[in-house]
Amino acid sequence: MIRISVTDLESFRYWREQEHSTVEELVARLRHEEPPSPQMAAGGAFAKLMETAQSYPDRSQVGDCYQDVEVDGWRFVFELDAELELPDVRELKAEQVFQTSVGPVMLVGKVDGLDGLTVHDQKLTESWDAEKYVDSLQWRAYLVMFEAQSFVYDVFVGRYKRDRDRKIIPGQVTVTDYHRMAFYAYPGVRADVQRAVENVAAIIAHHIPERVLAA
Amino acid sequence: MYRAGAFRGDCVQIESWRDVSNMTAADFAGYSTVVVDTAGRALDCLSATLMAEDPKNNRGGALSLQGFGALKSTFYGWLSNLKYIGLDIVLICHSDEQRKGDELITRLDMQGASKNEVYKSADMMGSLSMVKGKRVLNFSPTDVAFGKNPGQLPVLTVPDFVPGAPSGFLAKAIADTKEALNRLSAEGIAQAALQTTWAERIGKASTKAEFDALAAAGKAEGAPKAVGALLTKAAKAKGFAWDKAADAFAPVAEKKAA
Repeated sequence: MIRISVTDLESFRYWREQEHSTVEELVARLRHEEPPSPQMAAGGAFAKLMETAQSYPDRSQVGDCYQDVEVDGWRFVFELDAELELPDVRELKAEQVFQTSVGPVMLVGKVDGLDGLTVHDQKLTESWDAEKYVDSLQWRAYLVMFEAQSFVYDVFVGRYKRDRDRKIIPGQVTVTDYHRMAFYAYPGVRADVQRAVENVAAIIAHHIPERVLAA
Repeated sequence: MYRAGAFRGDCVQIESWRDVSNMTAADFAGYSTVVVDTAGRALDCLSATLMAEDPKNNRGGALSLQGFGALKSTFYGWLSNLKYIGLDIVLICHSDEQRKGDELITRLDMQGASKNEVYKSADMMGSLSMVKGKRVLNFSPTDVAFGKNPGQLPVLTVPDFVPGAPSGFLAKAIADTKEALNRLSAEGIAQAALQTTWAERIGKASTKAEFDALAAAGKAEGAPKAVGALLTKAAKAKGFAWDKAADAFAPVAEKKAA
């Protein structure tokens, strides 16, 4: 049995799209050897903020809005006026077994939220580029794993403090914009995810055999 | 539009954006759909008007940063207004080929942030191409093309047009998708209610026996997959993990030892 995550599928897709990237670079990513970037750390803190955010089913009872919040050493300053539909079910793990040419593969992942047949994922990004999400295997995988029909990216655009060399100074993100983008299940989505799982599993079986576990 | 000839429906030839902005709800009376052919050309028209109206929008004969902002907000303000008066909108766009790794992919050929807004706001997106001599419209995304297909439509073969006998081809695709979206909305509400009911049941469980009973009930009642995930999450919080071999929950320490 090989256990892979939805993040591994995305690492593979990203690697495949880079013309000059090497297999060694992909293997390093799949081994999770790369240290987390400040953006990844901020993204993790932002996810925690969203996980615990208060939801108000009744508009008239909306409480204090987020303006300036600190989570895990990151301060999020909201310079936008936006309403977000937060699902009641949040931070939910799923796993699904796929049969591949290198044996059974367990695909695991965790979504930020689930509302009926709609999966939600919150993103914190420095620039809003819708095309970045078009090819993503993430929404495809979660649609299959949760037998859902639609997937919504709640994309928050944030600005980091940077030093003279344009390096990020960890600690603060100013959130300036919000975009909602939906994707839908389509007839071939399961086959597309199966193919991606097959590709990643083959690379892991060949290059990272220690990740092949006894079933 | 010029090339559509005998197959062209009612149309308004646009010379400048003023021809568009002067149109009111009354001008659309009796119509259900507006087709913009092409969206890129419409944005070009709008760009020219914006630059002529405000020098701040113009930087050396091209849109300034402020101009791009005005382009996005004006175009999407207009589309929102069309939606508000109950019209379906079809944006016809050229595609742009881009290299990504070893593959040539197609993307919308549109300027500025307007492209992002199309991806964001479109309910359905498809690519028109020639396959084995036939013109086909595919709303599903592929390795090389974008798509949004909430109606789960198959790859559609575009019929030949017959003068005076409209095929209703695109109207049917739109109607099928709208019907699917309405159905999904209803199913989604029902599923959300089911998840809430199960979450309440699961929230009351704290012992292995109670979690096992819920797992058995979920199987018997054909609970959706999300319920299994909710149950596993709640059980984990109480110190239990699913033991596949035993087909039951087990205390985490015990499962590890096994």
